[in-house]
Amino acid sequence: MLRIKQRASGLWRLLTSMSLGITLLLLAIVFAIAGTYNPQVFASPWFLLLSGLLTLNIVCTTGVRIRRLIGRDTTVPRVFNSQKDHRLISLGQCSPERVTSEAVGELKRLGFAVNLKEFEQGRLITGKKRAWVKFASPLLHLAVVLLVIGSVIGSMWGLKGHYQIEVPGQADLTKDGFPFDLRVNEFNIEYYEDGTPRQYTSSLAIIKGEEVEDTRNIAVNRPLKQQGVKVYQSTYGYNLEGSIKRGDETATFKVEEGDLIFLGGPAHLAMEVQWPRYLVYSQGIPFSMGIAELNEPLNILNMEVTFNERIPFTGLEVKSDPGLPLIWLSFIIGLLGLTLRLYVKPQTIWLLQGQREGNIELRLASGQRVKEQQHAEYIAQRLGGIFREECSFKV
Amino acid sequence: MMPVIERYLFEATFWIYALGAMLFLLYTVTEKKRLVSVAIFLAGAGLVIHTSGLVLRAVNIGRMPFANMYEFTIFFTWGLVLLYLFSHRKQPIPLLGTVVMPVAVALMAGAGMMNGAARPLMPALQSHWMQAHVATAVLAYGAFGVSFGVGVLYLIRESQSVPVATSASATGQGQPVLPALETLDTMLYRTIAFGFLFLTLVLITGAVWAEQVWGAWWSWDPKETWALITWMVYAVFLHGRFTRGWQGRRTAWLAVVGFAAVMFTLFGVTWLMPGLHSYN
Repeated sequence: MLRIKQRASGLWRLLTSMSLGITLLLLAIVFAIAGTYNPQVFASPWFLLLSGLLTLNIVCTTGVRIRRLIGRDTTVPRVFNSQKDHRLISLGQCSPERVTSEAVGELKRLGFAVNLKEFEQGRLITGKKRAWVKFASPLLHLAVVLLVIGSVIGSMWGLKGHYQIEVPGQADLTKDGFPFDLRVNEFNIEYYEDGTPRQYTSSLAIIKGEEVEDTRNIAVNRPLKQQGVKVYQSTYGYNLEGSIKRGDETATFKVEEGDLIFLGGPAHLAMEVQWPRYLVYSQGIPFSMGIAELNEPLNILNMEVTFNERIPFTGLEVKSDPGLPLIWLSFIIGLLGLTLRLYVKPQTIWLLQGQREGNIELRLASGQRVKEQQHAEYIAQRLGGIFREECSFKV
Repeated sequence: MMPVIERYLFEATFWIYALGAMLFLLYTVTEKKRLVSVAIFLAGAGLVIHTSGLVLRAVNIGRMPFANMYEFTIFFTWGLVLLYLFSHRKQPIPLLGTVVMPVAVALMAGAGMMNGAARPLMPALQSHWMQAHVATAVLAYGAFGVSFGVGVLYLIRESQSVPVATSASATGQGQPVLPALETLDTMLYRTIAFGFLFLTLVLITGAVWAEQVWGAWWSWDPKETWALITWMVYAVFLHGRFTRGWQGRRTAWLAVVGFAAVMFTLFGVTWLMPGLHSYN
């Protein structure tokens, strides 16, 4: 039993240790580098395990951090344990209440929020400024956890689909679980003066049941948002419809422009079209080329290829991602946490007021920052000055 | 006409930075303080001309000039020099220019070899998020460039077993050429903290933008992944420093490695790995 307990506490210490965190981060770097050469890495169980461990480490360390921050101090701060971390001011025979009220007054004048607590070693007067900033780092780490949760939710309950819809035409999104169907009424490409594309626009009708609920235009960078579903302008292209006649036999085809049309025959012919140019390969080797026209038969060896229609299609990316709000939230609180952590500094000054042989002793300690030490110095001087007249003062 | 003026402005910028870098190098040899003032002045003057070149290009092409490698490299150099001058105001370290300015010169020279033809913005790039993405990247990478310089100086300073030679012999002022290790260490932290905040913004604006264009806020594209790798390298730096009290040589090396990751993200990925960011 004891053994299990020991093991468990050892495991807990490991999980909440920064060494593990840094090691996992370094490992994640190695994995990510490998992943840029082979994207399979990011889907591998090892990478998922690593991400899981890293998240667990962040959750545990942050949990411990928060508990320490909100938990009550049961002992005096560690700085009072060693002589060199604090200074001792001996105030002689003063009234303890008077000393406390002066110290509290000085701290408050400097803008510190003051807290009193009695300990075995004496009365602890704690002055804090911007103490809430200590929560910035946990906040930042919670943002990372939120990001992980958001992406897990997205991958488990999100829907995603790519639809190539002929114009005009309709896509049955409802059969894939989306709440509406889409009809594409129009697709347009705007061009710059030099002929490069400026924008691709699809004009869509949102259909529920049999009724058109709304009509909307979408373009690259301007997706449609409806009922938690987003529709993106993703690609475009053309479908080619036509027929191949060989002797008495006629076969029809419908392919996406750019894809190969297999003509067959003893020469294993295949045709690739970039309208209006076409290229014929024989067993992968270029064989002939030319310009195609709609409804004009092309004679290739003993075959007759005719293109009847060239139908434009728009490629739409449709998705719903229930994790997305969490992702955005994590970005906001992560940025907030990071900015506070890096640029707003909390300050703490401690005074431990005790008695020895009837003399009042004040122990003064502060954080490491210059500002804190300046404030501590100032308080030491002030208190020294005040009590010099009334008590036998010595530092 | 305008493209010609614009090209002259960038060429002038290159030569002025180059002259500044030469003076910094000369300073390391002669330790004459006056050289530093002149070199800093040249860096400032170069930055003014650099800025006017960028403004002219923006007017010329009718948008912010950061859509291809040429434009981004020039913009990145601008950020580097800007942040270097800013750091010089806060904490002047004359030798920092000896490391940073040659990097700026190399980047300008590199840009000069790239295709500078302005092309209209493809639809995916037409987004305010994209502008925020690049603007924050310029500041982040500029800060990391400066931190790289500080890291290098730290390693040099540390390798000198004897206290660093003073410039007393040259100028009689008796000031050490390199500041104390603690000063360099603090500066290393400050520049990296600044860069890290902005790199976080780069990742966030990029994610928001990608979600708007492609419908996926993260897709393990090599450029994205490398930006994340860079982020993680600096995250290791910050964690080591905050919680384990890492200082000195180890953090200086991390600053150097971090900047190598920045440069690889910027150039290596673009030229060696296909992905959403290799727009050409």
